[in-house]
Amino acid sequence: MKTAVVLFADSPSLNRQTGEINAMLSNLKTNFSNAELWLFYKDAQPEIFPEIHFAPLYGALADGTLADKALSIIRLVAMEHEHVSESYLQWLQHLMDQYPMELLVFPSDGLGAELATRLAFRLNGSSCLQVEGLDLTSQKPKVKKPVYGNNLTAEFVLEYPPYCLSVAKQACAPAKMIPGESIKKEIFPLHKPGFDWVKEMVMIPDKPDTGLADSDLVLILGQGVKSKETMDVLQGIANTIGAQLGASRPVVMNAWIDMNRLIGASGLIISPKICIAAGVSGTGVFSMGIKCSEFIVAINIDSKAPIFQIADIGIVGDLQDVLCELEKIIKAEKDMPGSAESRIETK
Amino acid sequence: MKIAVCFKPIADYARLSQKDWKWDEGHRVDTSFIRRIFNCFEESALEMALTLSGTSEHASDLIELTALTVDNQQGDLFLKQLLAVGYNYGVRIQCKKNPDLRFTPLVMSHLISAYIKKQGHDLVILGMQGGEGDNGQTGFLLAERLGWPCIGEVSRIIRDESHDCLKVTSRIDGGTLVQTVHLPMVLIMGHSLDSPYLRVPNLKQKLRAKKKQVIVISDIELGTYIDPQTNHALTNAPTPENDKTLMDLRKPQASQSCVFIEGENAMEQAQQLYDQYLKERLPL
Repeated sequence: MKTAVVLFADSPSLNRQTGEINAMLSNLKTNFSNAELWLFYKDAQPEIFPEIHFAPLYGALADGTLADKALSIIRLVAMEHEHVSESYLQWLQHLMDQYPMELLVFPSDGLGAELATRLAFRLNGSSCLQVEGLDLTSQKPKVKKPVYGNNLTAEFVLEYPPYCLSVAKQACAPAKMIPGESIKKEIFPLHKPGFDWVKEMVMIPDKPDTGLADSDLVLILGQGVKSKETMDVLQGIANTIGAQLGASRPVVMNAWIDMNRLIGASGLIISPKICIAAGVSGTGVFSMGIKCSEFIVAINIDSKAPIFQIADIGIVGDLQDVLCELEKIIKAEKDMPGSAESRIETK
Repeated sequence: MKIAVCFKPIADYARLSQKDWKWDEGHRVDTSFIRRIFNCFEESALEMALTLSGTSEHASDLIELTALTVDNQQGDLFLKQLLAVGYNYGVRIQCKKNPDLRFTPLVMSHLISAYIKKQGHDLVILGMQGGEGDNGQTGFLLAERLGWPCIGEVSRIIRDESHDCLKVTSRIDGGTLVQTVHLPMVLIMGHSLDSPYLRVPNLKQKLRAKKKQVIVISDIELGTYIDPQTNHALTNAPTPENDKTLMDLRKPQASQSCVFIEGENAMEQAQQLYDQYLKERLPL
């Protein structure tokens, strides 16, 4: 199947986004007759490229032949307006006109979702967002995506090509950047489309990365936290035990913690070594954000809370009481001289 | 300025227990026994529009608010509440044959666009995602059908000094975008700290809203009819097809069995948690 992966070179999450795409592609038992990367960029032309796994990483294909991992070509497209989706859409329509593809794979962010949907509409194709699994062994592609607030997974058959997919956010190994000297490239010059609906545009970059996504120990607080004061106490505990703090939606909506610490389907997807979910009820949308953690501890006053369904260890009790006690224990272990084997060092 | 805010009441999934997640041969999950609520993004959108309408200083820039839903009669309860808190019109599009619209953002956007084109709104606000399908596509498709630009993951909408513009803040990968934009436009609401919850009507407002009528329009009146067999719209307008067919539903992999820590008090529980599970796993 003729396939192109569409990526944005300037995206701060390029490696993660490519990793998510790789996670989906590497499960395919299909060879691609033509595999392209369409890479959009602003200002400087990229010199290194995200590594895309267009075939099973290990082992042969379903028919026994060896998979060809190589990209056929990288098409580099210069952009003037990196935040105006219409300019991408015009380019994508042009590219599809010149180099028709059957399958287009977009990243998991909002732009990827928008472009997949709108391009498929313009080309009378099919689109699906949050795709967790893809099966190309039948004539029409089958996709899996979460539905019913992440409580169920649905399987769809996509009816009409081109098939435009944006992949699901998921815990994954970030893609490597490679020089790509040996890969053929085509460069498209900047063209300046006019847009009359935007009068003014200011981009405010996020504060520096919280480190939350890469932390080994994460403490996540939910609506069981009843006040800002409690929140401050718990922040102190997190510092002592060396945990990064995350939160579910109700806490973020109270403005007790920054939006960039929201965990869940519409926030961060994390997979720390230890995840302590305290006072989190565990809706499908939230659980999506932590289910790939190595070890999950849930503390909740309600023994029937759904969070216990994904937890390894559960404690039914008051989150503040338990966490205060845990802080004392870890602090004592830290302070006890000569007990290096039980010391906890914060990163 | 005429603003329409689209919403779809959803079942409060948090109230379903694990055993309730079962479906019939049509892959429908019975959620009729739990209450329905506003979807969080749409609740934000509905409140955001109310705040916006409260900022008009001159009669010339008055905002007319319409709350729009595609639903059966049960949707009227939500529309009445919105009329009470300040919406001028509560409109419900009723499909005559009760088609399955869970996974059909193409059809949903078609219905909404048919209404918007008739009424001549300047701005349509929708939620980012929600409902059974979790499709996340209706807003984008509506923009395509109307031929309007759209902005996704919006967190704030305020008036600009010039009357025909809005200042819109939205989330993008790695930052926040603040744009001053001309209308018409489709805005798709994401997480918003400005308007996380819809205001609650007081008694006086509730009484006044009782006299107001919900406007019900059928798909046929909109010049379109959704065939319940195929979910295709039969109309002279460009036909919205279903681009995907639902084959199956699945529950997520069987959950791990959670081990509960017993203990007399928090101190004992914390000690057990540390000794038996955390000590070996905590980074040295």
